[in-house]
Amino acid sequence: MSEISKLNYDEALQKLKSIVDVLEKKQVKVDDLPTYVKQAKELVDHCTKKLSSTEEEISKIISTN
Amino acid sequence: MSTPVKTYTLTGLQTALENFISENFSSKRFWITAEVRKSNEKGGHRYYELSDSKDGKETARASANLWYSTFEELKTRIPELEKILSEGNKVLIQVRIDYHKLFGLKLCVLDLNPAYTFGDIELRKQQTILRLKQEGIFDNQKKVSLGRINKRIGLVGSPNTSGYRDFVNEMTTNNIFTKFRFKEIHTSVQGDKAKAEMISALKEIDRYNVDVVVIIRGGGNKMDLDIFNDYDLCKTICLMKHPVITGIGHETDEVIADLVSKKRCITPSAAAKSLYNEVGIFRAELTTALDSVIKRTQQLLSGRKDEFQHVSKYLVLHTKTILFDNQKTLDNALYLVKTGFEKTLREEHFQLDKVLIDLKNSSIKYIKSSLLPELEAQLQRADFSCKNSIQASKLELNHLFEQRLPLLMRNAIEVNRIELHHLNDKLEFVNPIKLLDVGYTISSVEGVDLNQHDDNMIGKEMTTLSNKRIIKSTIKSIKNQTT
Repeated sequence: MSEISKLNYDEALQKLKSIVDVLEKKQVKVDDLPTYVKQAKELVDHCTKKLSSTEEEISKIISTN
Repeated sequence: MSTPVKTYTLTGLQTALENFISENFSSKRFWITAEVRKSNEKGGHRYYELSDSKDGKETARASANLWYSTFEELKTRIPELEKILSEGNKVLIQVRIDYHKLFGLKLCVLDLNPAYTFGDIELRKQQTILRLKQEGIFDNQKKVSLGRINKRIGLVGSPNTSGYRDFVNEMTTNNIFTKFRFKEIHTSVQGDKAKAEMISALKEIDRYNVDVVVIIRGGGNKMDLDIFNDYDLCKTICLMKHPVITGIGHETDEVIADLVSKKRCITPSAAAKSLYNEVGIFRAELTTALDSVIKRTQQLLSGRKDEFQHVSKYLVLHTKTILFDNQKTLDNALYLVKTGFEKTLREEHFQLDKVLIDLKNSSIKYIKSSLLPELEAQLQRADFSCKNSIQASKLELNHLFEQRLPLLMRNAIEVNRIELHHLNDKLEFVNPIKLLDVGYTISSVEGVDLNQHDDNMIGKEMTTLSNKRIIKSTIKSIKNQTT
């Protein structure tokens, strides 16, 4: 289980924001670029997944009532 | 025919007189008595106007002089010389008759007998005493009351004299009593102005609220102290309403001021001692009196003690008997009150129970007949109302849960989703790999973007990254690009 999958939504979003900020300001070394981009992609996927699962769960709860 | 009159010049006449007196009197000496009317001093020489009188009428007058050398010689023998030859004194002097054609007749003083003047002083003193007695004021001060404690002191004297300082020092530093308050009026005690100043000071101080007036004068010779024999000064003392104490330093002769005052002390220090000693004696007397009172009180208390104890015992016994009797009566009354009260209470209780049962029965009956149907109707209405409220709440809740809540939830998720999309877009935009894919390159020196470098990069190795290659090159020149 990767580190990112353990994060809750807010933590993952915060981390994603900080990576975008670093890339915008060009504060990252060229050699480290792939690592940052990969991490950002994983965070986007994790957050999207979290949103979908939350939506499903809420729909399930409401329909059972 | 008349014979011619023989005339002389004034000079001739005066010269003839000068010669005559010189021949007949210059070698002769005369002892004469006279009163000094005026005296003057010029260049060390003394000039006097002498006079003689009989029955208050002047019978003779003459000018006299005392040359500086003779004055100094006489002064070594008679220290009071200057005082004796002051105005108003009667003197016995040895003179020589001089006549000068310009200055006229002059008596030249050669010697003086002080005993004559002293005798005259004594005579005047006796006359002053007699005059004060004839006026009936000589013993006035003896009638003025002098208290035991005299703390407010009116002080007349010259502060520059040792006698004055001695007095104040004694009064303020002794071990018996020092809390005196002074009203001081400073005056001369000798010289021409002394008499007038002292009289004025005494009259002024008599107007203040003082306990006693003290006149201070240090030691002095007979002539120095003669001011205290003056009629006007002594009369002022006689007429003062406050008691006067004199502290005039002299060993033998009394002065009239001493005689007319309330109390005389032989020195300023003695005057101070008499004042504070009197306070000390009075204090000691008070202490002794207090001791006597305490002793006598203790004796009286001791004598009454037995009597008191006897009466006290009787009082205790009698009181106990009275208390016992009263307690007994009180207990009986209390018992009667208690039993009577209990009986009344039981009866009242019984009546109350009866009334209560009646009330209960009546109430039940009343409730059954009138209140019960109304109560049931109200209960039904309340039940209906409650059910309605619950149904409305259920509907509202249902609406909330089934319609509004999903909507709100979806909105919240949608907001987050939009934010995530926005971030993702941003990421796409700043993603350098995408930039490489469309043909851009990224150049860096020592792993840092070129734009981040401030240093001179000429000669350094530059790494250029494209989508498929990594190119290493050496920087040879840098040209700034204008936009």
